[in-house]
Amino acid sequence: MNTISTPKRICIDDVPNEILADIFRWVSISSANSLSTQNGLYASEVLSQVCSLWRKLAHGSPKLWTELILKVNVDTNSLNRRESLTHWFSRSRAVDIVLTLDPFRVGMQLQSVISTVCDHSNLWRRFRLSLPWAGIMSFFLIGTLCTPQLEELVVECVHSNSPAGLYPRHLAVKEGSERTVITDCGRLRKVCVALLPSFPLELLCNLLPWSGLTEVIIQKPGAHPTLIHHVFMHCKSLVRLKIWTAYWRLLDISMEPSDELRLEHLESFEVEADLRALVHILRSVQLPALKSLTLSGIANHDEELYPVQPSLAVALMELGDHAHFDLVELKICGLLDFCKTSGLQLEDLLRFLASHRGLTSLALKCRRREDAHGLLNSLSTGFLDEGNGRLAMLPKLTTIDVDGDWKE
Amino acid sequence: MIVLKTSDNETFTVERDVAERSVLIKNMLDDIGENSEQAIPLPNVNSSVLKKVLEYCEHHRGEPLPAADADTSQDDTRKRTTDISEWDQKFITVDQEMLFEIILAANYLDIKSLLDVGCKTVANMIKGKTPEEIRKLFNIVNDFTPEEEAQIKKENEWAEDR
Repeated sequence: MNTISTPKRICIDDVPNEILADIFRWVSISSANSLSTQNGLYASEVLSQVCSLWRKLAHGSPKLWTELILKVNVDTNSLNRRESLTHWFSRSRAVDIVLTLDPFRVGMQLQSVISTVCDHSNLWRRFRLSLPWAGIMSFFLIGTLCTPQLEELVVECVHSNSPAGLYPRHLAVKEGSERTVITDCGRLRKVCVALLPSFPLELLCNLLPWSGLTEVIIQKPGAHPTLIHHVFMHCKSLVRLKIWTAYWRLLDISMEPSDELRLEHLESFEVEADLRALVHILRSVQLPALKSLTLSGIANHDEELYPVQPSLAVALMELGDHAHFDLVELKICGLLDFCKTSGLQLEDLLRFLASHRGLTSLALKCRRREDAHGLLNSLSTGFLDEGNGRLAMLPKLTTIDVDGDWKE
Repeated sequence: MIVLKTSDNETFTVERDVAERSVLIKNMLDDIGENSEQAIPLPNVNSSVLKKVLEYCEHHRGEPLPAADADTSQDDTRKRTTDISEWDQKFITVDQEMLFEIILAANYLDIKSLLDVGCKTVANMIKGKTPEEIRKLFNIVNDFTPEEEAQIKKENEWAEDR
């Protein structure tokens, strides 16, 4: 009997494993930072639950296991959690971890999770810890962590109700407690901290070798001024620095001009602070490579009772006097209030602008529209070159943005 | 002009720069020399698939070819995106069998950009589905052992808790 052979239908089983692995990689990339909507599984886990071949292939593809978002809840089988976490790490070669905690469902599991995650610190590539106070403290009392692949560290205290204006004494760390020290972190370049100002400085200063960092961000609810001093003293490779800080008067803290507060490579500096902090920082530091400066004001009614000396204008000019720099970008937000004497006055601003003729981008955000109008008028009359419509004093300026609706 | 011969013995005459979107064909042409009139045999590609592949190559002729190490560097900088251009999307809107045929042909002919379009399309079909839905979509048999099923159950419990 003759048989007619029909060509075999091609299906996904005919796709070679290396191509299937590539498809898995695309699934993983397109699903980055998102879980499968129906069952809370990561894309990599979904793929590993289809059939035994896919499971083997997925488990053997380290690139599928590079992002882990953990939200620690209560009522968990901690043994299962530890086992599952350990399996995850065993499949990966480098992991970006986001560890958060639901503050309304805090259980006893956090310590166990942090300790399991820290057991695999050698795999961390980016580590973001976003926890309430107790969780943060657990992290800082882990011991030595080896992090040869770590590039970025974010430690932020969330859901804190403490008012930023209050600076209690530094919380004490129990004698004999094992402190967390990050070692073997040659790739670590960026650190972002968002802790309470009362956070024990010794824990932060000893946490890592600060000297190799190129980017430091200090976010709300702010840092103790001593930490900011520490950054200027020790982070000598910094290229970008962003700071949020306020309420220095309550601490009777001051920063004094010093050659030790020189950051030779800093190109971008953003400060969001009240006047006292701004003045102390600007008059004390030396930033010879500075190209981009952003100053944003935080309202502090305390300053009406206790005026800040010297003025912001003087501090700003001193910044230029201590080390000459050629600004390219300048942004000033909320500090141009021409009704008050405490902020930057129009003539101060114009004097500062006149000493930075290389500016290409200028953004001036006033709190009041009248100030913005006055500013525009003054810039036009004092700087505008009628011939070409450009500001004669700032010949390279290509972007100017002045408005009067700035809010903190 | 270049002559290509498929597995079902059909021949296609195409311009050299179109054919050379395939690294395999380019290397073969380099080997046999400029003036050969010999048809290049493509025993792993049938005529209906080659027709589609050539349509793709024709549309993308003149575009720069990806560098050999593009994959690794793109991974490193995490710039790989699953976006597919409008034309490519329309081109790849085919039945599942043809989709996998195109993927296999792109792999054999070494046309990286076409292989990516095929893989991204399959990835987009998978994205957001449950394991059961994926099995159904591709007609895959659930062949897990009881031990693997138990492990999967644990993983799902962990997922619910995360």
